[in-house]
Amino acid sequence: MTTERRQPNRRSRLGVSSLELRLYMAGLLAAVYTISWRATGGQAQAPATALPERPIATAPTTTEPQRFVWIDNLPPDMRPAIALPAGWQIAAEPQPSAITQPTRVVRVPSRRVRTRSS
Amino acid sequence: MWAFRAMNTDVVVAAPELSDGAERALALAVEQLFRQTEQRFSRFLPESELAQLNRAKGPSTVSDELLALLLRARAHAIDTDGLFEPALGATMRASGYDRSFAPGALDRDDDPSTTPYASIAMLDIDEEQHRVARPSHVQIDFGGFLKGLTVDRAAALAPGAVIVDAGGDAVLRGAPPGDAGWTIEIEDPHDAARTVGTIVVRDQAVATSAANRRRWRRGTQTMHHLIDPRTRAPARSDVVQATILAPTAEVADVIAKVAFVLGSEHAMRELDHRGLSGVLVLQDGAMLTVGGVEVHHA
Repeated sequence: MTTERRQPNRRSRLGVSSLELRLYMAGLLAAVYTISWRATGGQAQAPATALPERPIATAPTTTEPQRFVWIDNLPPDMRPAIALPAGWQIAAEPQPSAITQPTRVVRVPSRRVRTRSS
Repeated sequence: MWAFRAMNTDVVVAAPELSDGAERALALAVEQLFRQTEQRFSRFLPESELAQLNRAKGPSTVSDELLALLLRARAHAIDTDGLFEPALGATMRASGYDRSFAPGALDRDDDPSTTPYASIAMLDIDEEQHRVARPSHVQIDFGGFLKGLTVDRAAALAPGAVIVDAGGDAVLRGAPPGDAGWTIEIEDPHDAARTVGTIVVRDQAVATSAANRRRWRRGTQTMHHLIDPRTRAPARSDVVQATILAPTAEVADVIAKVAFVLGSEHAMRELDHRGLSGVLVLQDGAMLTVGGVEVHHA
């Protein structure tokens, strides 16, 4: 034989209807969600000073602007001191063969092919 | 239709039955094939496997691919009685063709030097051990043979109708929708801005040899890249341009060179013997067709 203890009826004690209670709960959840979203989204949109856009900027030395440089391509006396977290290390520049080659294939208008010496 | 530069020429790829995305993916695969082939087997790139073989003082171990290329090129040399000769790298260099061609880049005031007879038959090839030894004056230059072979391999990547053209060496499989074949213009060797006519090609390859584009000055002589292996000097015959149709671009390229070197009389006999067709343009402007090829005039 089991016994069942009945919960007191909160609705009547709080004096709110079932619909109002649901609305309060929805509002509370929305507030929690908004706060959480703002917290995580705010980190991703931190100011540029927190996460540099490019590895290390240098003044262009040729007519073609150089947007970044590998740190091990800099002379030793120009390399900035960087404090790394424990266990981290600076990686070497990838070998050219490991870098994805930019595609040189371009669409051209359809035309007749011409055979010729080349 | 997609295009890129490789092997110092323009390469175009079109596959009209494919979607845009699939056609582009095909073009990218073809470009990669050309780039890798050039990096491995160009005589102009110092780090290529072929350049290393050409520099080697003693026997070299070569890759499967280079061994296969050497054997294939040697077979063509035997088949053409030495009129196709891929061992003329030293002769090319002595004539001034020692770097990738560009107009004016090879011009020099001194006369060309002579080189001893060289043949790919002089290579000592150990097929079992992949070892190749060569006399110092025997230097391999695959030239158009490699380009033609690469065109064949590139076309094999495509399903259905396709055209792969590398500066005049082309494979034409199937046809554009609604057409009987691919319409190909034949350049006028006397005026590169004009054509001598068009031909319609389907399920064949085409290649052209002429001296009008790769010419340079060495001393008082005008040089070009089509060397007669018998004289080791630029070929002089009555043929100024040979356009050959063949089952593969590899064969078309080889036989176009042979026809250019032979001159019209022997070239027509050779084409007839091989069952190939072609169009020969002569010095006097006359045009000869062989094997029933039909030239449409503009």
